[in-house]
This record gives sequence, C-alpha cells and structure tokens, in this order.
Amino acid sequence: MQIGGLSSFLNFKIRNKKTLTSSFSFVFYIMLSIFFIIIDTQNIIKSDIIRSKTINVILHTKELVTSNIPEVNFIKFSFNSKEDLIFENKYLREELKKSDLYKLKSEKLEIENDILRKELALLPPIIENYILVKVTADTQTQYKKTIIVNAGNNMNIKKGDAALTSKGLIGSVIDVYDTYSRILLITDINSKIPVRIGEKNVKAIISGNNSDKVDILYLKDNVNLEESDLVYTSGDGGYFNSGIPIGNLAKENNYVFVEPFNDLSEIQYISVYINQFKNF
Amino acid sequence: MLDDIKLLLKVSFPTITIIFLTFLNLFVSKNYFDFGQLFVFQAIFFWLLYTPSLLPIYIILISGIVQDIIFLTPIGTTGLVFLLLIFLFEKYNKLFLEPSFFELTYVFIALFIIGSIIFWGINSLISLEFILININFFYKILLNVLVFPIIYFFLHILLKKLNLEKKF
Repeated sequence: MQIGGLSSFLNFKIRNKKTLTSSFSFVFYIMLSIFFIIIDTQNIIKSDIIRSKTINVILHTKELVTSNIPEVNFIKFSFNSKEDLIFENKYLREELKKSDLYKLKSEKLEIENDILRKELALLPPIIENYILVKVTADTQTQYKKTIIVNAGNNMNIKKGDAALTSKGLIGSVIDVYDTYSRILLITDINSKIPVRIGEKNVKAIISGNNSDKVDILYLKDNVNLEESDLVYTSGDGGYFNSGIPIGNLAKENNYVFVEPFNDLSEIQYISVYINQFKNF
Repeated sequence: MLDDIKLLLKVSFPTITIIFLTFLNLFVSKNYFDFGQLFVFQAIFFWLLYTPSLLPIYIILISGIVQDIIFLTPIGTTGLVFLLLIFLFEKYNKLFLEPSFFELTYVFIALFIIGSIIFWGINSLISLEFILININFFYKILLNVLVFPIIYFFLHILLKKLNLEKKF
C-alpha cells in the first residue's frame, strides 16, 4: 500500500477528538427522529408525497447511471464465433416451432375457458390489460417485502392492481409514483389475500409472515386438505380476479402453509394486471 | 473559484461517500448481496473516527430518512438507530485513545449487532408484535462484517489521498 503504509492502516491515531454527541443539537435530532416516526406511523402527514418524489429522484439517478455503464454482455456477444451463431440459430428455430405449437394449444384452451366461463355466467372482462414491467429495485428487508417496478401513473397503474408472472401471483401494487410503483409481495406480513384451495374449493385467507412460506388463516377445523393442493385467488373482496394461481399447499409436521410458485427473491419481470375485478 | 470548488468537494466528501453507499446498496441488494438498511453505517463509522467535523448530524439523519423511504420503513427509524449508535460509539471512543484496526473491527461488529437489534426492536414496537428473527437477520450482519475491511481500506486510501485528516 502506497499511501500511509500498512502500519498506518492497521494502527492509526484518532486526531480529531471533537464529539458530535456533546451538544444539545444531538438530543434535538434524536427527538426529531422520534417525532418523524410518530407522525409517519400515525399518518398525521401524507408521507406518500415525500416518498414518491424522493423515490423518483433516486431511481431516475440510478437509471441514468446504469444506462451509462458499458454492458459487458454486449461486448462478449460481439465475439461470438460462427459455430455458436449457427447453433443458436438452429436452437431458436426449434424453439419457434415449439412456441407455435404452444400458441395453438393455448388458443384452444382460451376458447374452451371462455365457453366454460359463459356456462358459469362469469363473462371474462372486456379489456384484459397487462403491462410488462421490470423490477427496478429489490427493497425486500426482514421487515418489509416490497419491490419497486419501472411503471407508475404514466402507465395507468392504480393501487390494488395485481402483479403476477406466468407462474402466478406475486403481490399487489400499494404505492404508485409518477414513473414507478411499489409492489407488496404475498410474503409480506401485511399481505392478506382471499383464496380457494384445491378441488374442494375451500375458502381461506393467506397471509405472509416475512418468510418464504405463506400462512393460511381462517380455515374451518374439520377441513381435510391434501398436500400439493393448488391455491388460487378467490376474487372475494374485489381486489383480484379469481383463479390466479398462487402456490401449492405444503405441510411440515402440523404446520400447513402455501409454497409460492414464484421465487420472490429472483423476480426480474412482472405483469401488472390493470383490469380490476371491481370494474367488471 | 476552482480552489473553492475543490475545497467544497473535499469538505462534502464524507457526505458523497454516504450517498454513494446508499446507491451501491440499491444496485447490489439482490439475492445474496442484500446488505440491509444499516449498510451506510460503514461509512458513518469511518468518518466519525477520522473527521467527525465533516459529518454533521443532520446528514446522518437525512441518510437514514432516505433509507426509510427506499425500504418503506417508518420515516425516522434508521436515522434514530444511526444516532443511537453514534452515541454508543462516542462513549467507546472516550475509553480508547489509539485503537488498532482489529479493535475497531470488534467495535464495528458490536455496534452493528446492537444497531440491528435496536432496529428490530423499533420495528417490532411499531407493528405491535414480535417480528420473527430469521436466518437473514444474521446473514446481513455477517455480510456487513465481511465487507467492512474492504470499505474501510478504500475509504482509508481516499482519506490519505485527499488529506482530509490533516486539514480538518
């Protein structure tokens, strides 16, 4: 080490002995932070506006920085060999054939689903509007399970909209900013979602507990539930459309919980379902 | 004029590093590199050691508020934890005049654990229930402890390069 030498790095002297806590201002700042906590938790002021503006500034800066960092993958890609490209082309052609087949199958299932819905007198919503968004910031902590995505008021996202992937539900929108919004994940302790379980259509409410497992609340005592039963939204309460898959039922000793289909720590892209059940 | 700007940048360098760590936390906080909300304390700890006069308390409070805004915790909680840790640190600082790097590491570990517990306590108090402590709680502490020497090393180089210790 050039500057100062190793000895100065490992064994130094504290020169400045001026303390921060020696003045009354320190007590003032302690009181101020307690005051902030009280006014925020008691909703005395609308902290949403402050949060919205600050998050917009922070995330715009983050986007600006990330967009200017040279992309390593792009440079790597430019050095691909001809063999690699031929192989990739062959693979993509096969995938395209497969996807065409899947498309046909899904169209067939969609028609069948429409017919069945009509039979049940549950007409599908007229406009099915999904917005594909990208996770801008993963703000999951031990106390809050939320993520921030790159669409907000600008894309007509509203509070309460469902967020899902192709595997199933991941949460709902709780805060909408100008160009960003915050999604409360199903694993958060404040998340409560009405569901139905298995082929028996047992009603329950699932609640997160800030871990990977999701608790099941308000179940009747004499209900027999099978392990790996599908758990999906019931649509009760009017926040989510019915039938969105969430996860499988799992058991550990006597503890019954829901294992979400999505790995919530590795989500990159999400579809926000902006067509609300309550509008239909 | 240019000298004034240079001086201003030097004076605000500790604040700049705090802002940088806030962004770094936002960039890397995914999967296994989740440092948590108290990550910024690494820089606060370092600057409190060398140039406390360049780190006003309101900057610490604001950095805490920014963390709260990003991570959706009640505004003021992280700031309060930082202030309490500063209070504890200064009590410790009076006891030892010339601590070695290893002693400082122990102090940082102790303070970080205390800070995490206070943070957990405040959050439990606010939500009126005991929030379960899981493996992530200890993992974040471990991760911050492992990263501490690296951040300390880089900040130490910058400190020497900018002569902040001597001038202020």
